[in-house]
Amino acid sequence: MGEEKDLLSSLSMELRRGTLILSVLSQLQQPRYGYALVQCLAEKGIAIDPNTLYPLLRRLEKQGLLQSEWETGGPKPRKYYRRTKQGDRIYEELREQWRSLSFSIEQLLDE
Amino acid sequence: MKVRACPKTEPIERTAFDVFCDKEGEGKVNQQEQELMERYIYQVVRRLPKNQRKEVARELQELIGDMAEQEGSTEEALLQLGDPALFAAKYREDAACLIGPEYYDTWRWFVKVVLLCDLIPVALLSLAGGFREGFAQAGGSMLHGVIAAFTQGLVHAITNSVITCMGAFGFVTFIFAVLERQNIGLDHDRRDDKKQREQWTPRRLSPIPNRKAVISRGDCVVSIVFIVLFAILMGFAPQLFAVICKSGDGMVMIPVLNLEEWSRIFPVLVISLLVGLADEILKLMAGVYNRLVMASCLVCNVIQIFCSVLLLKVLPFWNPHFKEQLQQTEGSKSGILMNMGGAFFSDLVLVICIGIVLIEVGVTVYKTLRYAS
Repeated sequence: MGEEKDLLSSLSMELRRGTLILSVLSQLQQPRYGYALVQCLAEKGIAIDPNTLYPLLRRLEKQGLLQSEWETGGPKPRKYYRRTKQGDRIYEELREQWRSLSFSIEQLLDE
Repeated sequence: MKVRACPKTEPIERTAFDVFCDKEGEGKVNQQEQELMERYIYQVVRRLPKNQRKEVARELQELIGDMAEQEGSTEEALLQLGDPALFAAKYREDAACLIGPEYYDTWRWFVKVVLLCDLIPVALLSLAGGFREGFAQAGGSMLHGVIAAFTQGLVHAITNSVITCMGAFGFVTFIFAVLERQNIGLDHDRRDDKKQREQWTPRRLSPIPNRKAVISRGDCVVSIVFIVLFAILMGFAPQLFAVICKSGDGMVMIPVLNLEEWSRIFPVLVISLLVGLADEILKLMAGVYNRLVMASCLVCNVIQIFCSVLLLKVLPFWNPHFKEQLQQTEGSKSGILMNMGGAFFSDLVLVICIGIVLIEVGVTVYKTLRYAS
């Protein structure tokens, strides 16, 4: 029983993994710092652990989809991320792919 | 996790949450919480490549600060973030691989040390062997002989080095791949046992060591490579420790060491080197000066001094015919050369050995008592 639970948890994590990138990209048209993004996504039903999000943000930045900037004006320095132009293009493309995939999966599941 | 409203305004402008954090946060984060946060960040960033550490530390400081405000305490925030080793693994882009991120650091160090210990002696011995063969085989002019010897030496050195390094790399990687798959823990700081991971709490974070108490891994590796190189040379080619002199038409090598008695001498030398090697490995694993490192240093160095006295004052370490053999050769004979292998020379070497040992013991004891927590 425990094994089945572990398996389900691991499969569910795999299922979510690909969607996280799309979720993160969707929220970064305007600049946001990491923890605000965690909370913003949580409010919209997408729970993401900060220890998953922070490395992901760095990876997306390394891939050129995001750009970051430290805001040091306030008493607390914050690193803001936003989509680059390349990030915008990729996001649009991914969004189309998601809609198409989602439609197909819905059909499969309704069979 | 508690949920806060998504900021509706442009976040570059300060949000209500920021203002709340600042007001509430000022002076609230006590020293203990700050220390806990720094320990956590240290445990994450020490596992990352050097060029990422500063930036990630800054990001984590921001994140933990925000989470602590939201969750009520730094400890609660760190509990949510979980084991820093796993967090660091995510930063390193965890992928399906032969050696996973949890073993990667240790594997990399092992490979470096093993390759250096393998490459240097093999290359040197092969070069010397090939050089000798090439010189012996080549007929004709001196220039021709030198070119042939050099070519043969280089070919031997490259071929043997490549073959043995590939073997050593494969062997170390194989051992680590097995460890990875069997989930056998190496790092005492973070066992890879699943149950222990689940029980992880921020209270288990060890204090950040004083920078001056940290033992340089590079120094340990250099020492280990030197010890292994010396042991291999002493074991396989003690005749290379020789004085080269001109005799008649050719050159002659006069061994400095007593090759006839080498079977009696070598075991003592090996014991001394093994003790030194064990001490260096312990230092490498400990990473910082502590009581154990100091005790090991004291014991190992006492044994090494004992071995040195045994080698230089009791056993016939030096070639007893050195002086006569040297006199049969041509060329000038300086005083130092003629005294090589004599009682004065033994005393001099012994004094140097003891001097080195005293410096090492002094540094270790000082750093342990002064800086180790």
